[in-house]
Amino acid sequence: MVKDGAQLYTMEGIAAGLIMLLTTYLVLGSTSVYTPGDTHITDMQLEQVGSDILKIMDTPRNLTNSLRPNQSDLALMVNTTDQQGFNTSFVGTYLNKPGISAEATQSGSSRIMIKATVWFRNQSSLQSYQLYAPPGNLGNFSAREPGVRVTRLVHLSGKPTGLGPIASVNMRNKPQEALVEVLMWQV
Amino acid sequence: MRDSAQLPVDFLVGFTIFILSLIMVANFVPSLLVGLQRTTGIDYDAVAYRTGVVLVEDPGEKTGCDLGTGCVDLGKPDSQGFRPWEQADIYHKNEILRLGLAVSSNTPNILSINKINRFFDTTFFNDQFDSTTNDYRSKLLFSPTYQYGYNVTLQNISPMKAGEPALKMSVGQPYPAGYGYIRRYVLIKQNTNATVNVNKTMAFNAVSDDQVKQEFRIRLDGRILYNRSIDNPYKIDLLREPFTIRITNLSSVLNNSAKNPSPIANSSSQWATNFNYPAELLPPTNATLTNIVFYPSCTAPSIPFYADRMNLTVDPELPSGSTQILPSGTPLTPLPVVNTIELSVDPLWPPGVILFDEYNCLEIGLVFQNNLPHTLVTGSFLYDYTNVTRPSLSTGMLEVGIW
Repeated sequence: MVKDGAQLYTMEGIAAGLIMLLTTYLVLGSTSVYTPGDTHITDMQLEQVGSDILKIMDTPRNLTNSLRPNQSDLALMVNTTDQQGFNTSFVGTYLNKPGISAEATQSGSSRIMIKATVWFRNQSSLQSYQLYAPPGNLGNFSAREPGVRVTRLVHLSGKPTGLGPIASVNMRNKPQEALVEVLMWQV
Repeated sequence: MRDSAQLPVDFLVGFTIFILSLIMVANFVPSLLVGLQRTTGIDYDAVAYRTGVVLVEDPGEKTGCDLGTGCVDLGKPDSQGFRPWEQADIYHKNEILRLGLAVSSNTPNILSINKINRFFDTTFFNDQFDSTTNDYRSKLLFSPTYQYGYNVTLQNISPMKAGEPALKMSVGQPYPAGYGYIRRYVLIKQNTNATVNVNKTMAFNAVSDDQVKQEFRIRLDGRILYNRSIDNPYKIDLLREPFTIRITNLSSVLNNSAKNPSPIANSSSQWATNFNYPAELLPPTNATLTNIVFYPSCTAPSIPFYADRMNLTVDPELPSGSTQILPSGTPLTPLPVVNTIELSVDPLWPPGVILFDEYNCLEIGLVFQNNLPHTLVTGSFLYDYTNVTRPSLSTGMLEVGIW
């Protein structure tokens, strides 16, 4: 490419220069930079939806005869460790209720999976157990949206029924607040 | 360069390539930054989010006086000064500053059905896209000058009443291709109602017809209804929520009481043997509602009824049934009633006029004709948490699209 007199062979030089420029352009141009702001919007929408659903599930629908609020659906599900009921309510009653279609057609994937965990405080430490775990097929790992986490403190009158052996031993049988944490992601 | 100042061809070619490359690079740079530019949707998503928060978490706001004409109506008995925004009439629409649907500021996600009905009333609010006086743009999007496109849709997830079709209401335009969006899940608080059966075996049957007047009262006690131990989502707030009371089975108490049973009400063949009501020549066919009055403090002398809108329906189950709107303060034209009276009272506001609030009691009296036939009805029905139907909170989905 270079003569003894340090001169370029012109044609090869031009070709090489063009190839280098083109390569640089293609490499840089094909990299789409996903800014934190863009990610935030999708996450924020899903997080808001999850937060609203937990709030609604934790709001009693009516007063009892003694004019005290009824036990909320969420408190009832945690108190009885109703795993399928939680998923059916969270996803089936709110997110994807049959017959209810969003007015906006581009409102995102309707396939949302959830995993719910209950955190409680033992005498000495913070412990948790799974309220609902999704089935084995978690969707496509390479094309999944990032997950969001929503939480709500729920009042429990005592130790829930139906707990697994470890949580059953560790949880106090007293009125307490437990943190319900739901991880949501689109598949 | 040589001494003769002539450029060599090599240098010329090299310089040309350099310049061309520079031009190409300068052209490429902006397109390389496309990925870093904000997408056009971000701004709209933010506006949609903000609008969703205002609708779902805020009760809205209204000034005490008309922005256009000043506070001219304050102090008058019919002042609209401090009413919640959903009770403003068309003349006071300009006083509405912000359209929020929440029951109160401490009940986010719990919406009032009365605010919802008024919000989606496009005969009241201007929904025309191109209009410079579009109400939703100025009172909800806070952009009277920038012409955002918008769509607000609310639909039920659980029905308002069993068997009723799902509610779906919408304002704005159809969604275009690209838009900002937020979806909120909400609970909807509905109004209360009560049904009173005045069957002659019940407590509301007068024992004789020698009373001064045949009158049935509905007792609204603010001290009970505004009990502070009851949270806002479940409170019966008659200053903000209309209520309906249905009085049925009036035909069973015409000339008929538990103490002095009259066979006439059920059988005209025994008419002649009826000693309790010898002056009556014909079996009764209907009662006559002669007046509706209010009793401030539940004990004071009666005053003409006063409410925004009072709808009186008689015998809705019969072909002869009818509905009329009663204008405040005017005497009622006596009205024949066969069996049922349904009274819908819009919010009892302002409290200064009729003395109904959390410290005061109010009775609504339905006065029946005391001449023949006697409507042997008496007593007072307490409109409280135990005696009325309180619909459960129903779930809904609110969507806001902005473009």
